[in-house]
Amino acid sequence: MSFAVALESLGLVSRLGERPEDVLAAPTDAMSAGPVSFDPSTRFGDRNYRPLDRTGQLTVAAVGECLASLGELPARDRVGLVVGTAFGSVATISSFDRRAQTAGPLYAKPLDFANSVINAAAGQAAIWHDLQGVNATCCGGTTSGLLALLYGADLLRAGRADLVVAGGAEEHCEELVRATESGGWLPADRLGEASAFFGLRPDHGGARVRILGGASRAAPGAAGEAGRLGPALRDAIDAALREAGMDASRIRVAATGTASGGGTDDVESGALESWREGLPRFEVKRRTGECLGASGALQLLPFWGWSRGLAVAEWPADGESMCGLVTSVDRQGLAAAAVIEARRGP
Amino acid sequence: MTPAVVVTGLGPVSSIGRGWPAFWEALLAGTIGLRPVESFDVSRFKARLGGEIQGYEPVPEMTSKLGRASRLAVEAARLAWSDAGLGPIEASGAAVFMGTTSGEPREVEAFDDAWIEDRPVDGRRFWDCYPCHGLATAVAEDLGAGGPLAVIPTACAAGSYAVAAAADAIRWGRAEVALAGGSDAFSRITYAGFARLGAIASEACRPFDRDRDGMVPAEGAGVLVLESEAHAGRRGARIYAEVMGSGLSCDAHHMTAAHPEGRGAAEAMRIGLADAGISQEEIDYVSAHGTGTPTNDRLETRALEAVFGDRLPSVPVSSIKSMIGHTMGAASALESIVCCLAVQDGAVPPTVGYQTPDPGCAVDCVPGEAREVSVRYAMNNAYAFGGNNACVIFGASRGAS
Repeated sequence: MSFAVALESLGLVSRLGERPEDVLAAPTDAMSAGPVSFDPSTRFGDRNYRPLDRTGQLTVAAVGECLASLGELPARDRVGLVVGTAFGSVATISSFDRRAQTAGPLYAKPLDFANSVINAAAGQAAIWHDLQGVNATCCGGTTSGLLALLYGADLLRAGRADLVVAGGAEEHCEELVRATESGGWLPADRLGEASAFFGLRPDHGGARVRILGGASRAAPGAAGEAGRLGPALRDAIDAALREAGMDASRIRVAATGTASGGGTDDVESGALESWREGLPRFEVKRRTGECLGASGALQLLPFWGWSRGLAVAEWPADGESMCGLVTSVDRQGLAAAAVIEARRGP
Repeated sequence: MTPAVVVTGLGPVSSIGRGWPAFWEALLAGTIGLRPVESFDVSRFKARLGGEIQGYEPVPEMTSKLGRASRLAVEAARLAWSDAGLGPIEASGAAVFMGTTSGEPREVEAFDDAWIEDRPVDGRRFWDCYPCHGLATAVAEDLGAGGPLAVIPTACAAGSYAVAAAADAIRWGRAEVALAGGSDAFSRITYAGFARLGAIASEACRPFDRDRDGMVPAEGAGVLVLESEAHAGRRGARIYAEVMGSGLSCDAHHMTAAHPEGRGAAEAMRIGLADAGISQEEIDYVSAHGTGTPTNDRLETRALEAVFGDRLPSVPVSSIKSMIGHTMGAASALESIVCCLAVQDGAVPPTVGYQTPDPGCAVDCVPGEAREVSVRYAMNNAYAFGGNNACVIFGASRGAS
């Protein structure tokens, strides 16, 4: 039996802007990769943001926007948070270590160590916003954000929370650029930065955007053989549709993780094309660049925007309902898919 | 009715034993695996002790393309899979859920060394080996697991988060078999961090002792095979224990310090008990987080007092970190294995090094020697940076009884 989850609010920090239309209306032939223009002093005002590193700041900001538009919240111990991220903060981890190595361990900063754990942004955002429910982080490389949203939906299904804020965040930093320039799997100038979160609750009918099902699939052998990722993605799509209780014929669109310029673009495109030829595809990375752990949440923006009458150029504009797939693959051998329904209404 | 989830395979890799018979025998004997650190220079630290798996040689055919934590994870998964008596057919749909604190810190350390020495960084190695989900994809790759997969890096509670997620996946029919656990490699980053927090023990890890002075960073991996009870029954599998339920919570208080009243920790226990459908009076053993730091053990005791009340002094509460140190993301996975073995064998491991009672830690920590205890239900508690708390309850299989 399917369990539907309503997407009730959105918090977004991106280089293109903080409204969904900023991303949706951005040109697809001029990728806006690179760091976000983000000033914590204006964003956080008098509040002490020094304990937050860059990933923490991006997360706290977007989660805050997400919570602010939800109105009255459940008891704090029933509000969960799930952060998808590929790395946490490489800048924090690496700079902590470099300082310990060069100046000596006594000069390494304890605060940096606190933020060196991969779940630091989730913990910091929970402290900042007083979220005492389940707090988790999901990592799956470029699939991290989608995994986080699906894990958040699972927490609701299991009754572990009444409200879950879920999405993803990834920083743009010198460390990642260096690593990517020296043998990375995509051009370094395509690395982006973003933070995007949705407020999730169990759907009781009437939601404009709903997660109806989702699945991840490991693709053993894929690390050295990209060809196995395609079947894994198709398996994930089939499993997500089964969980949604939806016939494949109802799927009209997709929002894919393609167009980063990395080696998995062709695999994901090919798998989707073999699943349904010519399915209209929204490729958020053409606009934002490769935002790694934030990508999965960014991929839900067209559903959010479509339900609110915003133009999604790649998709049909007709109808009151739009069922689609969100897909993502990671080069280490992992694929994920979700079935989303957007509805227009008053 | 929700399908029962049972544990049918155990795979510990630790400084005192690899494979559950050796691990369990060493724990019950009170074997200490903490020694002076060998893998990097600790001359600039006050502390010297670590829980390294010294002389670790991964199984020969394991690829050098894997980082150390992934190798530990793969070995633990192989041990668990073999212990469960499962083969390639079951693997194709198996789920993999892994936890970790740092993923592959040695990979970023190598990256940093190149940076510091102004050498070219190895970007290919960084991207291939550093992202922490490689722990789980390496396990999937090695065993041919093609089911759901995720890494939940909730630091020192991560192994329990993975077990809870895997149990949910099986209950909902997403997989019939899952590998769940955690892994972390010994790392200079972790060591330096805990040293800067003043948290590393000077001579020994002595949880709940009045004179305890810290934890000991360590490494290891623990993986459990979880199955639907029906699947295990069809193939006549040995069942160690049933995953009765779990509770997850967040302190939302401080990144590295527990809530002063143990609020989140107590909440996780209450949720876990409710999820399992049992009361605290039915818990026969608690595997404590028990790091050995002065503050953490006291606050953990407060949380236990809040849940167990007057009954607490009669409940065995031990910490295997006194023997193997704090294995970070692997810790709660290894302690889950301990809970399963306690249920199966009717014995609980000791807290070693305990000499002087602490009025602030009024628990029966099973000092010094293992004890025979009939364990129907065992509670595994884990707490982490970020305020992430987890409680998983294991019990004798209802089907088996």
